[in-house]
Amino acid sequence: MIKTKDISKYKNFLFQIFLIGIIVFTGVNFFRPKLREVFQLRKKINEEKEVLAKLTQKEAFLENLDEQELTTKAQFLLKVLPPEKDVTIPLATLKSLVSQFNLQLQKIQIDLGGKTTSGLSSVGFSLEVEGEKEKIIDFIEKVKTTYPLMRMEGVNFSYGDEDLLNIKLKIETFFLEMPKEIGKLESPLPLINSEEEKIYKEVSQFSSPLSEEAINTIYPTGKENPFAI
Amino acid sequence: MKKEIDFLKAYEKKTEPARNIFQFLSKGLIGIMVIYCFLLAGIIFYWSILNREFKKVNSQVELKKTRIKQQEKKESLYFLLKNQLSFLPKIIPSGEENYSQIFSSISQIAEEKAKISEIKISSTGETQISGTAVNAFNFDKFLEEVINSEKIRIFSKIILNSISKTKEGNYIFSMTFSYDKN
Repeated sequence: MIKTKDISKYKNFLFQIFLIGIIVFTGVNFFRPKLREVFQLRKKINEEKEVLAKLTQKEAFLENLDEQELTTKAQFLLKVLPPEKDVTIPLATLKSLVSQFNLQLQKIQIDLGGKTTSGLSSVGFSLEVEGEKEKIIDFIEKVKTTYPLMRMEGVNFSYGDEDLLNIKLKIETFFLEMPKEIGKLESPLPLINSEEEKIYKEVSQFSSPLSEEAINTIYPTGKENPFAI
Repeated sequence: MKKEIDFLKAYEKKTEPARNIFQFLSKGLIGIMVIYCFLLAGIIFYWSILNREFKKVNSQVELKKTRIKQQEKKESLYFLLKNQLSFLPKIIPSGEENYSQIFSSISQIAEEKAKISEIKISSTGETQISGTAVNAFNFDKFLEEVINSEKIRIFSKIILNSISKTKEGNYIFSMTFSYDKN
């Protein structure tokens, strides 16, 4: 009897309690997660818009590039800076240059233990060449503009018999590994700066005394160059 | 005369403020409930708009990604080109020693005055020469020319390392200097 009387005391508040219950229940289970979702969605949209802007920029950049021109340039630069450490091509190039200028190759030493830093490696050559003064000078100038890229580390000039000039020069040839990855899809492409453009212009004047056929005979026949694009 | 007795009057008077509060609370709660419903509907509406927007942006991103993937060859070639070009300035220094230029300059200075037997040029441009002058007059002329070359900024830091006179009267000398790149 006492209990019934107690409950009937709150009978008039049942509706209000019910409303509060609905608000609390839907607030916890529906309103709050939805609100969180809205904030997360807004954040995601902003992030996606940023990605879209980057992708749009990248797409436009790529569309403006000429594939044929890129292929020619990349193929040429792979000859200047070959991807794989090799002795035969630089050696054949140097020998060919020596005979091209009617010089006498006295001695040649190869140092395979060139340094390797971030994909860049080198092979050293020590040459002793004899010949006429003018031809020796022409030879030195030609080495500077020959590919694969050769850097002279020092030259010793001395006069030998019959007024022939003798030179001892140290040459380093370089090899650069192919990039292993091209980065994220949305990351922008690094721009080629003016210094790099200038150096490409300089390097594009480089040549090789070896013909394509000669290079093909140096490489084992029947095998394809894996770096050919 | 019939007299009505209002038994509840006293009770009504007593509970009037409580009833007002009760009514106020009830109306207030209904109001809160209505506002809450509007808010909830608004949130759901805004969420659906955002969801649609997200799907739209996402599909645009996917489309761009597909288009970029179609140009993957171009991207790889460009990346390779950039990689090669970024290493070249490290290998080819801008002020590379001009060995033939140094040799020609020394030969020109020496001419008939001295006979240069050896020229050593390092990668830093430090040059060491050794040679012979047939007499003191020629050696003096040669030295004068070398000093003049410093004035016209061909060579700098000129050091005479050694000089000796032979029985035949020739002067054998050794010098070190730097080549001025500018």
